[in-house]
Amino acid sequence: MNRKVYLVAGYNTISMGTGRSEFNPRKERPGLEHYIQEAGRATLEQIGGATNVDESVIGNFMASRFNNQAHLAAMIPSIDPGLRYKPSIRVEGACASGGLALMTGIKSILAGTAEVVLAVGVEVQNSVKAIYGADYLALAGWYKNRKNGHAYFFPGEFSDRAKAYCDAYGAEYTRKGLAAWYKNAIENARLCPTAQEFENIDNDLLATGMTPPNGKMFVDHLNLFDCSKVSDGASAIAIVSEEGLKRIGIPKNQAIEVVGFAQAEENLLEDPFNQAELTTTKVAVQKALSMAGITIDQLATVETHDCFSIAGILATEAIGFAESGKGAEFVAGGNTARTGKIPFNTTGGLIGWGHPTGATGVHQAVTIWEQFTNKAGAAQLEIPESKPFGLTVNMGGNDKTLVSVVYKKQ
Amino acid sequence: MTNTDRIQNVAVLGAAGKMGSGILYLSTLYISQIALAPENRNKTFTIYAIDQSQERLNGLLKYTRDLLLKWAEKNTVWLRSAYRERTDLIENCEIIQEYMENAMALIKPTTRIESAFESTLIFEAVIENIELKTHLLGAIKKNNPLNPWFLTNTSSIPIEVLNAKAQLEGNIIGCHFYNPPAVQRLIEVIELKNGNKELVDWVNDFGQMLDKVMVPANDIAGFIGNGFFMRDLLFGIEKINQLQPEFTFAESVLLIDTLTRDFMLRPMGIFQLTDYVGIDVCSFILKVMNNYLPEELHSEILPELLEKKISGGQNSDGSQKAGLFTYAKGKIEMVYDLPSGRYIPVVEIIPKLNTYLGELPENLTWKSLSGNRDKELLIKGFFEGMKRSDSRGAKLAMEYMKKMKSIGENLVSQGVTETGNHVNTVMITGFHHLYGPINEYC
Repeated sequence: MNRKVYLVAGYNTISMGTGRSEFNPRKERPGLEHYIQEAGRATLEQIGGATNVDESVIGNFMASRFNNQAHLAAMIPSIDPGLRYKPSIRVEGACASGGLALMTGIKSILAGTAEVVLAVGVEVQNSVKAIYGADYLALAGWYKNRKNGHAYFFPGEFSDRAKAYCDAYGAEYTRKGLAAWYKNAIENARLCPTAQEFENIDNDLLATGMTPPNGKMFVDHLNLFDCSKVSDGASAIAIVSEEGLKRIGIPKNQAIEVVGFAQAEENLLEDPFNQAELTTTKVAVQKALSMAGITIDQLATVETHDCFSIAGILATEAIGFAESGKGAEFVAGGNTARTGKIPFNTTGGLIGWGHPTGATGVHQAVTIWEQFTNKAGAAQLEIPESKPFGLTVNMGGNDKTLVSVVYKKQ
Repeated sequence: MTNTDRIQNVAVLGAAGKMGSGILYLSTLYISQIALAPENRNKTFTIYAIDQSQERLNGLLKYTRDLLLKWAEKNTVWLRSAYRERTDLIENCEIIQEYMENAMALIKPTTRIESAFESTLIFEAVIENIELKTHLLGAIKKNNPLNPWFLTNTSSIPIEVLNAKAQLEGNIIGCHFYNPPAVQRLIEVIELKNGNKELVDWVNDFGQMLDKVMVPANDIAGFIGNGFFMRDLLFGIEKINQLQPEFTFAESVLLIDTLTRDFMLRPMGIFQLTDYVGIDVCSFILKVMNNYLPEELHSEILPELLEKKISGGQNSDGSQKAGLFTYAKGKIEMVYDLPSGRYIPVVEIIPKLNTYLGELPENLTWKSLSGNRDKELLIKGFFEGMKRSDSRGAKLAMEYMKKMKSIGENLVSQGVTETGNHVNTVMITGFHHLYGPINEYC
């Protein structure tokens, strides 16, 4: 890279939705602008205010249907009058919209058109019941597939992946892996006060995760616990150059450095080549690692896109921690737990922390930033000096839009 | 006539009432699903919602629409498959809307009983009054040339009495829904001796499709549910009388209610349940049972309460009316003292009751146990602890449990049902008890 790029001053709102005691679907709740402003202002406060920002980018998937609101770039100045008349852009790549916001900011820094970029991701989805939200989220698939798709379109798509995995490697074997993924997600979420599952008190998570799927009410090969919940939330972080760091007065050791990144796009009109593999994820991760010049053995932690627990299992294989078909065993063996070989999703990931779709990519970056700057509170890992790297994997649609970033602890 | 022909014209009598509205919803749900089958697409289905009150019929449509919408939103997986061939319907919202329009179009609200003269299946859910029921059923039978089948929701009147008085020639069956029918899974099915066997099969299919729990009961007044509940209530009243004069009337009512709820791990105490059902309804059911059974089933207290306009039951919005208790946010606030004719705040009484009853063997409640995976084990431990306890509450609860067991066993020995399992199923499914009265806990 011709310039160094850092991420700093992250912030996550609460991931609001079922599971949070404050959440009441019958009462009026904060709108899109509230979340954008809360996250944006928190980041601005850490970087010396809006005067230090050259431009902004906001990632959002589907506010036009969930909230009857488009044109989100023009919501950025509502964060602070100092952002008025400065550049702002909204990006969309389904659930990878947050990741695309990071990509856009990183490229602005590399292009030299900005020294400080405010990146925000947001989604407010509890505006409608899940059965109608499923219609909106289905727009991340090809519209011609909607008619024959499942009522819960994306759970249906990933249920097909779970079926392929079960068929290839055994249903009981797969279910044990999925249940272990769920257990790990909730245990980590309990350590993070902003997580949607922070207050989860289930005393037998493994048994809950083993609940047999009910195809009559939901999908055939995933249970409800295999799915990330419907979430409202926003995350923000500043993407800065070395000059930018000086401008905002934050030392390097309070930042994380972007040392590799990749964005990969697959054809929306085609079905996956192999349902039991996240092929595009594999390509994006390999590109990002290759750009960073590191191997997975140097990773201290990974934030992966577990919109469904099967996506978590498949990610362990796509990244290279487990061979094909061995991901379920890798997870069930405790290797992805916070005390395991490679801690995944240390604040719960999408299943435990929550999945405000357009915010998720930014949330993943904030989590790595917290871990590498000792700000993760009860969820804090000990980062070994020999492993100063962290990886994020943000996926849009069914393995169609991928953003993967490698970060280095300073 | 095929079963599909049979449901092409259905009438629900008392459709806007508490039970009738739920039965209308269930029959609409049932018929709307059958109407979606490819072979039925060109057939016409009609459900007459008959009630004497036009005003209540207006509210009924909104009630039914809300319930159907909830069902459709929960069953969109199935609806998508039912509308698979409709290429114009793509999103869930479009499919749900189409289903709702079709389902609601089935219902024809009317105040005219004559509408039922062209129906082939009649659900009867008017108030529990033998004369009214026999008058309506008889009029339909007389004027309807189609030899309709009748399903009565009576909870206490022997089916044979209705059959004979209305001259229905065996085409009637007891189909006793629990309140509210839309939610409660239990249906007691009371088959007429020498009645129409096809009707029995139809009712069972109907219940199965609606995911109901069907429990057969014999045609003995009160059947299983009220047969148990009324005797439970009378035993509670007997205990109130025994507790006086050590306790006032109000104290005794609250004591027995607390005992039956907390010490017996029930969702509500026996007198709160009486308020929920309605003191007037309970009193009426007892009268009917008393008429048809050799056993003396009577209490002076219920008519005395009714004389003082203490009737319980629910308001039209579903909130609880004052009865033996008044309620605030669903919790008991005051208890009625019959001799003085006034309500007394329960906070003034509770300390005395707690001292008398003593501690529970373990800090468990119906609520804490109902979703617990280890429920059975915990209940067993709770009652084992109670057996060992010397507290007056524990001893009284054990006596009550033994009485409940004998009531359940008597329902079997008196031929109300063939097996104790049916009694337990009714109490667990219909009354939401955590365990059946015929058990090894006492």
